[in-house]
Amino acid sequence: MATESSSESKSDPSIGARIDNRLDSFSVVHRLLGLVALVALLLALPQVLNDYHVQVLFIVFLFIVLGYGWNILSGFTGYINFGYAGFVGLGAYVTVISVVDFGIPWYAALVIAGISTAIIGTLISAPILRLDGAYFAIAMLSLATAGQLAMSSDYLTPITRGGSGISFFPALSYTEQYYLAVVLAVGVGYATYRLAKSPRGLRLLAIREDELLASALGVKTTREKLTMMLVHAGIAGIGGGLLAFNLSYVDPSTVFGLRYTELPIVMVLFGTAGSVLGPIIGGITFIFISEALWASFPTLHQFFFGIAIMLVVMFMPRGLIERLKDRGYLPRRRSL
Amino acid sequence: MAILDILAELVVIGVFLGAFYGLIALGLSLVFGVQNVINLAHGEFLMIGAYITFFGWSIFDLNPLLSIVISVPIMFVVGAAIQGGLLERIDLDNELTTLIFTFGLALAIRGLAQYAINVDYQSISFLTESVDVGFTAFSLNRPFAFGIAVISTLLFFAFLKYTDWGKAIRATSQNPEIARACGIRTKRVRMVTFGLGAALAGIAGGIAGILYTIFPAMGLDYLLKAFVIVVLGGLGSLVGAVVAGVGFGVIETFGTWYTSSTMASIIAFVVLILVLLVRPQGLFGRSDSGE
Repeated sequence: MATESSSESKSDPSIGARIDNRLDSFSVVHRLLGLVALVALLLALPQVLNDYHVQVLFIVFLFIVLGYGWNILSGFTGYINFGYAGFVGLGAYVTVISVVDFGIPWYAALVIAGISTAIIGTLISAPILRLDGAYFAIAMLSLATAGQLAMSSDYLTPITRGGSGISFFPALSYTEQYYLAVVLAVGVGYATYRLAKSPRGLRLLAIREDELLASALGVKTTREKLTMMLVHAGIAGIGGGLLAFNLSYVDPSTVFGLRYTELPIVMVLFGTAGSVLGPIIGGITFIFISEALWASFPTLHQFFFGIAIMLVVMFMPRGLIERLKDRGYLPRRRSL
Repeated sequence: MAILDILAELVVIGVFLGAFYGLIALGLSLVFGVQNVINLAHGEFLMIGAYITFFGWSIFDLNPLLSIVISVPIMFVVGAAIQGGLLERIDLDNELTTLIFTFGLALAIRGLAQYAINVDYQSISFLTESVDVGFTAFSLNRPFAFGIAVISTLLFFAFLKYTDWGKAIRATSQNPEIARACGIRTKRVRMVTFGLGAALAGIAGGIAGILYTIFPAMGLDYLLKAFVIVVLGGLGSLVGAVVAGVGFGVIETFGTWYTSSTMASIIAFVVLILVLLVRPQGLFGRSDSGE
């Protein structure tokens, strides 16, 4: 009661300011309880939904994870990765080969996929990340294409089985996969929240706005970018592993598909690049449409999301969260 | 002698191919030079050009040479319309915004083509008879493609050098603000430039249709090669694009001969990354482009 009257007495009518005050009034215990309640609700959903709905929700959370992964490098630093699907595909392959050929349990395989994708991705992109963002964007696009070609090349065929791919029986049921996706999404969401509030988050945004100025002010830009690349590629690798469990097979054209690049981009841009809520808003807005289109019209899927990217750039270049902040519907906080 | 024959053959085929690659890279480099936009839909313009030539040949029984000539005004209008109607509405100064936008444009065009046409592979059989020139033999469509590429490139450079529009384009490329202050309508110049870039891609598409298979997703491969070439030649440098295109054609032909075509594509990306590391401004790049 006390907080409500104090917010009225400030006589600031904007919704954003009221939300701001309300957020301030929550203690750590409140926030923790809210988070626990949200996770419990999400984990309880499979009890009331059928398998198909659980599968759709799994896809939504998988893409929210991938969206956060893309956002953490490209959203914060402005280094656009057009080859994100390359990391997803690499993670999927590492996971499946670990499980099928080496008999490694699924959780360890996911960890291996995350770590190896992070290391390989960082090593490959380390030289490119020193360059201008446009070079990085296109070099990554060509690297993803090269990765897809490499998976079916003669040299790697003994390991990857070439273009026909690998089929296997995943150890996890759809419901378990959904639980895993929810836990991962909440985890990376929380990590992004902490990052956005931290000085490091501010340094990353400074790189995006003016890299030369940021480095003149003492930001070690290459080191910051490489650190984020490690996380970015690692999340993509784990997401790719989860995708492989869901598909129960991998082949180059599926797991390296453009869908895993274009959807994170449109989700994050629509939500606002470098924001905490952006990937969730983008995921909820686009993944249901994507899933419906993907099942019946895979070619229209590409058309629709190409148009979506163009429309977002034309009419909402800074994204929904930023737009809502401008209008005063959301408080100006970096943690949103 | 046998080795020398093989070398001569690879060089000739490489140069034939390289002139075609140079033509693709020329359009990409032109648009970048004038408005700092890396057009990721360039490969899709090429794909449209290839389909114009293919449908002209398969439906109307047109000579591919005629179809290529017809595709020039069509692609010019398409390009100018996209620049005037879409690109002018976004923040052209922000390199990343334009990159993302043209990425979306590329996906939309490719998706529409896959939906409207089909995803099958098509090809034009034109001038497929083989000729023997002593040390080597190749099918006639290769010198034909080379001829079209060389003529288009020369016409384009003549246009840039001797016409008023060409002068305006060069001025805008050098300094848009001063060009504007001198009375050049830079917005129109950008439209013409984008249209020209699309038309060059359309001609290259016709050549690609004669030499290779045609399918809706064909553009990406050419775009990436063109980008490697543009970086090799220096972003925005037109002569550099042509020279690097020929060099790239020769390198790729040798790579394909000694390894496989898949490996040759991977080699191209390795070359790109090496060039970016050693000489980010390209072999012919302007030293101020890094600013």
